Amino acid sequence: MNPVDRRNFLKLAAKGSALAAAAAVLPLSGVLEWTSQGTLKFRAVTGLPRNPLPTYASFVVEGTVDLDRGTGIVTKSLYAGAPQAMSNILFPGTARTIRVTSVDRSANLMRLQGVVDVQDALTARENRNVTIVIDTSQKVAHADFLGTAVVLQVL
Amino acid sequence: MSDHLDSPGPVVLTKGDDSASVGPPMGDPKTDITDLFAFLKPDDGGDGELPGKSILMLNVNPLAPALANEFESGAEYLIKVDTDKDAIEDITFRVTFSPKVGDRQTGRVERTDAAGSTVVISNAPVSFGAEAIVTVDGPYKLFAGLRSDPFFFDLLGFIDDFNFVNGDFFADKNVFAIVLEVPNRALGRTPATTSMWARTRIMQNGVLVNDDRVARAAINTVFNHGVDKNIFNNLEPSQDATALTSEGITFVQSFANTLSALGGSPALANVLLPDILNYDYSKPTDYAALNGRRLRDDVIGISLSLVTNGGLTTDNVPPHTDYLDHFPYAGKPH
Repeated sequence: MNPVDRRNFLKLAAKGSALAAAAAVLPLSGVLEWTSQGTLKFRAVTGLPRNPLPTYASFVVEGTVDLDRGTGIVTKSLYAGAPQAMSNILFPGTARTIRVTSVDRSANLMRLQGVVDVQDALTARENRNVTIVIDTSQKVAHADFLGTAVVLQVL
Repeated sequence: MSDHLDSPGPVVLTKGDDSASVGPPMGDPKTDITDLFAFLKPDDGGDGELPGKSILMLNVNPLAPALANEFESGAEYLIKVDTDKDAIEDITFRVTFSPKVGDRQTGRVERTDAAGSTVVISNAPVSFGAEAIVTVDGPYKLFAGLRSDPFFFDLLGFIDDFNFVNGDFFADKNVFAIVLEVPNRALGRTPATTSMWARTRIMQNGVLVNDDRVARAAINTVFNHGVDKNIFNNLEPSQDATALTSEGITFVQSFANTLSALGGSPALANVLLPDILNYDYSKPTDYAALNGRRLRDDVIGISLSLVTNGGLTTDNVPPHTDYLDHFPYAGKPH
């Protein structure tokens, strides 16, 4: 099944049972704080896989960014367990460290551009050039998991 | 991920003024069951050994030895055998371990049925290296220790919403395996109605309590949401038909809802529960025929096809190539 078929399958499947879909919606948590003027520290989490599958793991994107200089470090990690029961067990081969190279700020959006220096860790669908968008009004972050776009919640 | 890390941490359940913590107290990988296999001994009768034997394999400790490098002393590793289709055990193989001292730990196997208990293997060294230390006592054999994880699956593809393009996550992973060779007569005399499941029990405040359980592959992982994973692990199979989820519906209804959401038949819930692994040792082992499970059985492909009614049929991952054709069958550790 190619990716398009898979997406359509999941989309159709998700419509099949509102009850099961509702059961799969899990609470999300994270932190978003200004540690000092011009410095952003954030943590965003979402459960994976998504509806209608039960959540099995927690995808965490977190980091500290100097907004004035456009620098910082952001990590992406996958931990065993759903967000409300997240363990400290990191799935081997899933951690990514992103060196932030620029930050664009517009209204409530912060667009972090960065690069993964250790390319050996990347899968075929991942790009070493990474964009993470934080929407402070919606309290969500947009990032990718293995090349697939996901939305994570921050506080 | 057959059931690797299916409930890695404890969850607090609250009902009214009462609350209780369920699940592994410390998220202990040593008692986290990954898979249960049951298959006819492949070379049975070919080398002068007693004919009519089965191999029972209970694997724990996903990602070993990264998270733990021993079995839990004080815990019970159980393979429970039901001989009359009531989902209640009639025979139990109970495996326990001594504390690990230095690089030495030993295991003991006790078989219990209505007539009583018999120690069938004792003082069996645990293998921590590449060499498989096998202990033989009469018709029984035991291997316990680090082995290549026989399970094959694109785990990251599952986490990425069935996007199966990442290959086999478990190709280089290990588990702690408990492999028992038993005479089929030790499984009772009614092969057509024989089934089994694996259970771990851990010591908590001086009392043994249920921890994890597994029969068919990936049941808890695929069907149960959130705290229901922990509730399900605490149940016995005989409770599966009537027990309630945290949402107050039966697990059967919950499974039916998930099956509907995945495009499968909700009626399949009554086949999947109680969660037991049928094992008719008078017939060839084949997971696709709902009869036991061999290492090479593509349980994910079979399960995907069933639960999606053919919408998905494969995760594009073949069986491992490191299985042994002799005891203990699981490959050397990586």
